[in-house]
Amino acid sequence: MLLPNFNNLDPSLIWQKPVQKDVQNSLLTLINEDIKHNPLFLIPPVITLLSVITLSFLNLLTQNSINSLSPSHDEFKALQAQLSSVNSKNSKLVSELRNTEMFLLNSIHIPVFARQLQLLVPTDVQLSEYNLTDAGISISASSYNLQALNDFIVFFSTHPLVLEKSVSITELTSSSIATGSQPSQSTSMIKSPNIYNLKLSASYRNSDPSQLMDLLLKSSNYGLYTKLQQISVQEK
Amino acid sequence: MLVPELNFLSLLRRSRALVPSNSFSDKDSQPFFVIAFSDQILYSLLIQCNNTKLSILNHIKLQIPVMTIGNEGVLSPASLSEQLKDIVEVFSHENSSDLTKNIPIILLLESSQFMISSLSFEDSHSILCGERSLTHVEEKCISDTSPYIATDSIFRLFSLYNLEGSQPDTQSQTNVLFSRKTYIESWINTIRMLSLPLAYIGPPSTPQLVYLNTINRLYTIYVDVQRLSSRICVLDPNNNLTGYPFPYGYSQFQDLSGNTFNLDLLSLRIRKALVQESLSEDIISAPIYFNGLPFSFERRSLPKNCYSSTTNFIFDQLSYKSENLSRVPLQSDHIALDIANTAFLISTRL
Repeated sequence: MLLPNFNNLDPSLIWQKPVQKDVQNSLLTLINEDIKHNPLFLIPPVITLLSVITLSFLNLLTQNSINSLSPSHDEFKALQAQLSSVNSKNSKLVSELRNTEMFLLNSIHIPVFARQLQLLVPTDVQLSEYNLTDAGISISASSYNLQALNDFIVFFSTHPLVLEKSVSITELTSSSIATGSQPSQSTSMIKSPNIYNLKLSASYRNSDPSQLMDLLLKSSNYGLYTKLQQISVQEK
Repeated sequence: MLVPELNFLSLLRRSRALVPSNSFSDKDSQPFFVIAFSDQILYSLLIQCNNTKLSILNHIKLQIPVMTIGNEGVLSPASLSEQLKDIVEVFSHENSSDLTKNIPIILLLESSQFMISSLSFEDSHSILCGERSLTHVEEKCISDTSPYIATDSIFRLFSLYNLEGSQPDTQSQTNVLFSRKTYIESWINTIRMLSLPLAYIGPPSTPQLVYLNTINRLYTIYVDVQRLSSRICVLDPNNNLTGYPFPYGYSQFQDLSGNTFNLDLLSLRIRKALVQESLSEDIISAPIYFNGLPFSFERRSLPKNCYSSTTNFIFDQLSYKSENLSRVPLQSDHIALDIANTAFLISTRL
């Protein structure tokens, strides 16, 4: 009705406008029209599209790098598995070795003290018998010199392998070799030499294994030291 | 510095508002066969319209003898319909499509065959909106105001306002377009022989006036110029539309060589004639819009308060793109260009 139109004088000639499609139902048509009338609407999708393309491109590059490094990564994984297996075996061996070492160190008192015993005995003292067991030490010694025997007792009781409080003198006798009389009688003879017999016992001190090893090495070198002393005396 | 608005919801609403609600979508581009007759020249154009684009596909201009189309209308409908059929076939051939079946016709006739006036009667809004039809008494009252013989008179009511969105505040908004029934029927008989649907038949002035009224709200003078006569329409501040015949055409204001045209003198004559019609003196400063001038004017060379359709006084108000795909260049034929643009206006209102 807005425009005056005389075409309806013959109704058969009237042009009927084609039914317009429902633009509201077509989202794509709506967006298309909006973009044509306002190109600013293109900015968000273009930014999104560019971001997606950039991220896809970066993802492709990263994926290529990952694919190229994949064999090396698999090899590294295999090596790491082998290494962890070896490490576990090693730790198992170390624990077994430590047990063995502890066993050996705990049973080393007797040989160490057997070597140390050579250092303890003064020149004038003769060891007649010694018995070294795990339970303790029992020694029988004799000497003509009471002072030397006394030094032996002092050396013995102050030795680091010996528990000082456990030292006990079980027997101390003196006898005359010539008469074979009682000690009380032999002391009355002035010129006849007396022999003193000593029996003592002690227990081992719980020593540090490293200290035991140190003592063992020192006692081993003692033989070499005495040989060197002998050589130097002969040269003089 | 203005910060560009990036509120996309508001932009969406704004862009939706720019799309005419009754326009075609882009995919629904509609071709029209435009026939315009003026000063014994028949313009035939094939155009394609959608809401944003006008494509002029073909253009033919024919001189028609008075024996075929006279002042009383089409005197030889058979001859004219044969000529139009040939034109449609030529257009179909050149565009590789069959247009002979259902392409709608827009028929623009001489403004001198029509008369516009404004009437006041009760409840005109319901009639204009199609809610009720005119009573016999109302029809007789309107026919009595016709400048033509009552038995040969035909009229159409129209409004310069978009009735869908507003309520008329005065009764003077009802305008009437009168014409002669025999004149219109002679053209309809010709179109009937073409067997093509008719989309519009009427003067080119009313679609342009509808758009003019959206631009100006004061006294507005619209002049549809022909070669030997003109038709003046005056829109007053009360929205009354009155038509006046003007016995001068563009040929009287050309020099002998026909190269120069005295638009100052024409506009002065028009204002003088309107003052003599006892109109208000405001008419002297009212803008004059010329349509149908076959000359191109620079906007700066136009007289004060004068506008020409050749400078697109109406068409540049519309946001559409016009492209000329015709084999015959239209740049020098301003009347044909105006016809195409007017047909585009009509196509958006059908």
